[in-house]
Amino acid sequence: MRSMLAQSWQIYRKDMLVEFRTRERVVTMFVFSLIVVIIFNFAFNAGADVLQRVAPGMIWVAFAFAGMLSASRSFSPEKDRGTFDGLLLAPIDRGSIFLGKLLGNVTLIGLVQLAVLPLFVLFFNMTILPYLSKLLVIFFLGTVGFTSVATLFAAVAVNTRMRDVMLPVLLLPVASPVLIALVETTRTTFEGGDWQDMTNWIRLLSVFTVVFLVASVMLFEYIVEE
Amino acid sequence: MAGLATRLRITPFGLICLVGLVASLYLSLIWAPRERVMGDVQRIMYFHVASAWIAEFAFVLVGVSSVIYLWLRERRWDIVAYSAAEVGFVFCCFVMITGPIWGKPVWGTWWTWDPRLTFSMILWLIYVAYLMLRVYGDDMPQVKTFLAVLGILGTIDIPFIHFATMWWRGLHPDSLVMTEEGLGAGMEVDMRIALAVSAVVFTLLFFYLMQRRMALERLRDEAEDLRERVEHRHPGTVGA
Repeated sequence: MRSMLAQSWQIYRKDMLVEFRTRERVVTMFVFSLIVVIIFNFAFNAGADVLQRVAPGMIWVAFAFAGMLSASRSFSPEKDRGTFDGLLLAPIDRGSIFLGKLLGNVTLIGLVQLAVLPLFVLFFNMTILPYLSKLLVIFFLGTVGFTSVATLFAAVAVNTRMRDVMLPVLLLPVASPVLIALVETTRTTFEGGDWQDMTNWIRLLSVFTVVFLVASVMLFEYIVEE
Repeated sequence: MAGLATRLRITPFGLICLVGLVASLYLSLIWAPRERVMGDVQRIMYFHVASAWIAEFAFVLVGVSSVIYLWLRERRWDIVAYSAAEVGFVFCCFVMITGPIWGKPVWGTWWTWDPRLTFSMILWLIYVAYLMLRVYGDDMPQVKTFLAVLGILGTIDIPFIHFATMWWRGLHPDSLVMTEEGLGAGMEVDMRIALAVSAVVFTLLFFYLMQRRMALERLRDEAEDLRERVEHRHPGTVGA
């Protein structure tokens, strides 16, 4: 177990090193999320009260697509350069490759969330400070759950002919419960609700995250075998 | 060769399904009493609910056979999963088509984001994803594994989708609707019998269609095998 974590850490360090030399994933995700938010603003063309009601949905559409971008880019360059075969040849557990990739995706999405959320609050005149601790828990749970499925399906989609189209087609229906739960908990939080107003949703988020994380680690081994 | 031909002929099982379907049509459309409020349009429920049951059951079958496939790596379990997905998808489409036909006169709207409707919609999308992956991944050696993974994750997902859509819409306003549909205590004994018969017949029909679909897939394998053997002996005589 300990060596598996150490191996994932190595994969994670490698990916982060590559990322911080180019910064291409973080930058594209950030710009992409920002554009989504702005386009939604045009799409609704509504007053502040309506915008605040749809804001949780907007945030999660933006982050879901940014998350898919990150997950997809965590495999496609490796596949194109042929370095993924190198990873598979390395004497490490396949599950740790998955965990390393997952950790990298969660980090990058988290960074983008940290950068976009303040702008979001600014654009839509929302109060965030009193809800920060709750949002942190919700965002963390949801992002880990969503990203585990996204990372697994990205590893599948990168092998298909229509890789860019396949990822959303595979991922979004399966991830819909976690997305519904995220939007609902985020909305309840922004409306000043307390934990007991969303017990069911938090339970769903936690159980989904644990179940799909474990399932993804187990199934990844089958996906990458030759 | 004779074996191949008989495999595609009408079987006693197929005949039983045919008789069952006729009986079920009679029970649902003529024998069962006319619903007081909704009138004859309510009769669509006998097929709608039975198909919804098959749509969900078929995906669980996809999940179970996917687990067995990953475990044993035998082509026949992949065939079971694929056939269940394809036939289940047909029933799921039937649910999505009959629902609005019933909903328009009764609810006054083709579509509403009621929990059950939302659930069926997401299930339908997972079926679509499964079949798309099969089609667009057909040239890859690992596609069967990928499909098994999707089948397993989709099946694990069913309870989550169920609870998410239920809590999303709350239980209050729409739960009345479900008793209106005739699922609740408001249903007469004759209606329940018609629904039960319809559910049993649809289950038989599902297995019959699956059997046929699996036979077709095996024939394809056989044809592929024969083609390869001919190609091996006389290169260039068979097209790709």
